[in-house]
Amino acid sequence: MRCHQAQDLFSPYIDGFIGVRQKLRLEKHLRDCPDCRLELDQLSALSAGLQALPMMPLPEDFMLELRPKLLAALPEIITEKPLPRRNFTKFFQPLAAAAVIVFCFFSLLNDNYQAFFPKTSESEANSSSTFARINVILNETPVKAFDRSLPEVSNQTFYTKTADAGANMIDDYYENGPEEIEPEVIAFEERSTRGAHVDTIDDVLHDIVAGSEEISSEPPLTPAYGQTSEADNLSITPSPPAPQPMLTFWERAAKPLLFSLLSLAIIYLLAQGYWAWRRKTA
Amino acid sequence: MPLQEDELIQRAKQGNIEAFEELIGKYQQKIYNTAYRMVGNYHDALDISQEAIIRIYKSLGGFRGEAAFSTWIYHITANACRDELRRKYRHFEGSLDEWISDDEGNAVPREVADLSHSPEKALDEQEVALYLQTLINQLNPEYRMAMVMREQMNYSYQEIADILQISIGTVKSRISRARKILQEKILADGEHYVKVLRLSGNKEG
Repeated sequence: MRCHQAQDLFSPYIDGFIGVRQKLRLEKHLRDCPDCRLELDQLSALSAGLQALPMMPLPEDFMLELRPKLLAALPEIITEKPLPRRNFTKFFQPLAAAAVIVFCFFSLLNDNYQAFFPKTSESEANSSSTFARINVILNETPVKAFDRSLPEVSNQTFYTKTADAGANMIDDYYENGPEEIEPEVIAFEERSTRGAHVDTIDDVLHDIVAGSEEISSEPPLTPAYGQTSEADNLSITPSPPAPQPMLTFWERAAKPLLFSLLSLAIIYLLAQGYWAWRRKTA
Repeated sequence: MPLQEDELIQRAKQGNIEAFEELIGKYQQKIYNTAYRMVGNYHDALDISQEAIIRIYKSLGGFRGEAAFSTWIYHITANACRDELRRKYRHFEGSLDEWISDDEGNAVPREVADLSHSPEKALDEQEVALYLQTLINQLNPEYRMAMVMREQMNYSYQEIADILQISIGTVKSRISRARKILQEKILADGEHYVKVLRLSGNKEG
């Protein structure tokens, strides 16, 4: 070890923040180097001298002078007593509100997915074209998107994420579906899809699309499905779909507009939360 | 006594000033002395220590006992000192010189340490204390803070790094450099060195 390397270690050594190995190397160097030994001694003495500086007494009126200032701070403390919680709330409220809104937004999105792709005019022109694209969601992962361009829609089972989504799908079908198609019954059941294998759902859908298999209304994996809810067996006997007036611009635009407003609200609230956090930690 | 301190803390949190005064009573001298070593003069030390105590009072609501009360209040004290020194010497920020020097490069004490408020100790001890404080006052504030936090507040390198918001390596090098500079100055001054050495020898233990 050279002297300049040893010197770099003097302070850590004096302060006790030196690693074992470095300490041993330093001590070895010190045994052989009287100059470094001397310098270390001087630095140690200085450090000890600084630590030994006498305590200055407080001026006698220290607390007396301080008291009015504490009293002045007192109203602040009392009014701000819930301050830690208030900061907490102030920080998390916008976030919580944003979270609720994001949740609503995604429910909106899921349930009204087809609202963003209005195909009214298209379906009039081309009866076999898609009037809705419906994602079947299994545990929030889209497993398959398929076109409902089939003429045969009876006796088929569609799995949607929630009862509401299913009901909306039915409503939407009647509002916007191809006119030639008169389904006899659309039976709708809400089932838990947890535990169902992705492959199996995919197979089911494939079979539906190919029309090659008659699908019973029983879900293929009975044990995998959970309890049914009250929303089960929501059957709708259709009447021949009356000619539907085309949705006005505003009716169609309502949901995308709502979507935009929600997005802005989310951004605003997140920004508020962020700034509140910045102020808090500043 | 810890139990009593906890109760004092609770009462003080609710705005009970007497409880707070009793609570801080044990610590105020050390708070004041820390401030004094940092800023180097009596008046500023008073101001800063009062400021620190007011900050402590205001922040009591946020103290939840995760650390020891003393740790917490000295931390606030160190922060208050740091803020004041950086405010006062903002022109020097970024300066690499250990000494605050005048145009000719002579070390200039920025703060005049004075004896008038020192304890009644042996003249030698007083003199040495004054001399060392004068030297400390000549240090660049960033070096000074690192030194005082190490020697007076007994903070670890990591704690100093956290408070000054610098790396541990910087802490190490500042303390090393500051010590070296002070030592060279003391050696150059001659007779004071002997007194410092003797004084620290007496206080061994």
